[in-house]
Amino acid sequence: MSGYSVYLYGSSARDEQAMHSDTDILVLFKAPKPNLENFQGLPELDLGEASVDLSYYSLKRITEMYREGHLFAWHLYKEAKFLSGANDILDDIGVPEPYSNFYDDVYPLVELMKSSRDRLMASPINLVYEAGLLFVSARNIGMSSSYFSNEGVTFSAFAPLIVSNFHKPFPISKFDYETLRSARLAGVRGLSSPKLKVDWVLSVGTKLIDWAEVVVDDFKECDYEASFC
Amino acid sequence: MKRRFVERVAVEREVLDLVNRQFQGGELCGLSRAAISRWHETLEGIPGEVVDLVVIIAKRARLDVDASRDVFIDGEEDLVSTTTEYIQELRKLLESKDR
Repeated sequence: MSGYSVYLYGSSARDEQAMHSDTDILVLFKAPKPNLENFQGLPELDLGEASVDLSYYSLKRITEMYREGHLFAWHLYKEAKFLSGANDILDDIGVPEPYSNFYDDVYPLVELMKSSRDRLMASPINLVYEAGLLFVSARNIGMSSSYFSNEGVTFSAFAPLIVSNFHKPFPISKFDYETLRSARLAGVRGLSSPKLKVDWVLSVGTKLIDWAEVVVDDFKECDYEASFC
Repeated sequence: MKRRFVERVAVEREVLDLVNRQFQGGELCGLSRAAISRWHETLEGIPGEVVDLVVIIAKRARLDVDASRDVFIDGEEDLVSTTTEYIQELRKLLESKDR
């Protein structure tokens, strides 16, 4: 039992868990290459009926991510709740270095949004899937840019709607954002697909791409500065 | 990490293109087990062997992108190439069903 520590993070840790949310659990091993055969799961935790998304990391890798100022390190620093194990290893690591990978994190997401639009213009056969990708890209861009926001870094699924200091305000309504989110949930949770029209997805997608390009320009110079700019 | 996500999207798109062109009337909208099950339940006429292969590819795609696997695997095992082989198998299977 002393070889690892277990943490809760994500929507459950934020008290935002909805019916369709996963419970995000991090298992942090002290050994660099632990033997999985000796790892018998998490018998000490009563997770009920929740759908659990387990992530396994070594202390070495997590420490590197804290030193790199990786966004996941900030995610853990802000949210992770120690559940069980030898001791609170994350508390010992301390505070992550400033987030410095904004451009590298966000630029591929903007390109992904553009590819979704291009693919939908060519064919609507994967309409729900591509709508879900638009949601994921917008959400993650919101999370990354929230690091530089007045509100402070947030890992809420509604991050783009929370951050207020975009030069270009988030361009779609909460209702439309929720519709895109339901497309994503259909793909990852098997929930029923929203009824979508290609023209509507193309319209919101174009608005999101225009917004995302401005956000990248706004924040790309902030990489190595303090937690605001 | 982002590179892996983008690579996973490429795999998902390739598989979804294949199956959604062949089986119209209900979109397979993701490569999760839950989405595949729902698709199989709601759309009639999908052969079990196609579903089984899609499930295998989905597992491989998830493993490819899972950063935490680095904890247990020494080095960068080339999982992508085996995923590609499974996609080729799916392509051939769908072509044989189409004849």
